[in-house]
Amino acid sequence: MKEYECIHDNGYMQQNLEMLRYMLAKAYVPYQMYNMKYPLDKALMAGTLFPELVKPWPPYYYEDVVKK
Amino acid sequence: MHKERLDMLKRIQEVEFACIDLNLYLDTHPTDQRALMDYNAYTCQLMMLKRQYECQYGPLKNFGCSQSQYPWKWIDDPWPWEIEY
Amino acid sequence: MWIYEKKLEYPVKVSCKDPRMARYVLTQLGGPDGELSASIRYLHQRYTMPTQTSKALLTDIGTEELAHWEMICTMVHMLMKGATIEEIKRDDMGSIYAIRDSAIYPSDSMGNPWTAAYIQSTGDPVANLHEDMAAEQKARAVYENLLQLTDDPLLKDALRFLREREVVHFQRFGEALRSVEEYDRAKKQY
Repeated sequence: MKEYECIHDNGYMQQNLEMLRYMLAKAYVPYQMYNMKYPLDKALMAGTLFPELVKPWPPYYYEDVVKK
Repeated sequence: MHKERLDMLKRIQEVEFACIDLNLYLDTHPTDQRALMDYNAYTCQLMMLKRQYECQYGPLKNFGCSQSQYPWKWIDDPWPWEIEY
Repeated sequence: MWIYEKKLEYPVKVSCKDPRMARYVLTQLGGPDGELSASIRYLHQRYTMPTQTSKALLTDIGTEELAHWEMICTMVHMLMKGATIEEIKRDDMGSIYAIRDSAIYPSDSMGNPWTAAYIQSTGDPVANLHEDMAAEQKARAVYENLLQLTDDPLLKDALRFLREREVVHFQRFGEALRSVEEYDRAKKQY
């Protein structure tokens, strides 16, 4: 592992470091995109309007997806 | 509670649930036009369904959000925890 | 301001009375990972959030959790309705029956009353949102345990619905967290 020496830095290492400092030590949850939804009666049964958010237990999936 | 009333209530629950889920989605995606259009469409449908239900069976909301027939129907049974679906 | 709507969010049905299961479900009423905890937590945290997204989201999810709390109260009420003294004694609900009959009271399955020590509202939005996300996962885990504890398909239906709502709330809090962190970053860069 390289030692970090501020004096000999050409600016690139510093920039990289800044970016890493911003990205690390955080939790990331991906943004959901609005793709498709269940028909209303299935949505109430499933617990959500969006099929991609369904994590039923025990695992089984509801059919009849509406692409919109 | 007879079947027709239960069916209407179920329909209201379905449309209202779609509105709730879309509401939460729009809170974190305020610029999503399609979602907003869908939300407005469902809201319109929900308001119509609720008006129909309230005309027949009494108010669903109080504090000025729904009108009531005579006598004051807000206090009528059944309350939500007493309904046998 | 809160307006009450005279209907449940999702129809709650039970096949037959079951005081033992009522006791288990009580944990989601007044327990540490229950709906009341969730709702009070979110509704208190919303006052010190920086972005519009987080304020709106905490208000809306807090309100929805109140609706879920109503559903849990209904479940406990229906499971205890009409239970005879023998059934209550057999199902180990005698200690709770002694103090309050079949009344609904915010306590957990062991009878400990709800306390604000179950929630936290720090001034730091990132910490708040992480706590909310953890709370949703804990609630989801509790619902999975409750689903294992019952055989009643009608009760399982409502518990499944509530479990899925926790998953969706977790997703929303994650997105709010990103918006709060972007706001923090923007603030530091002017």
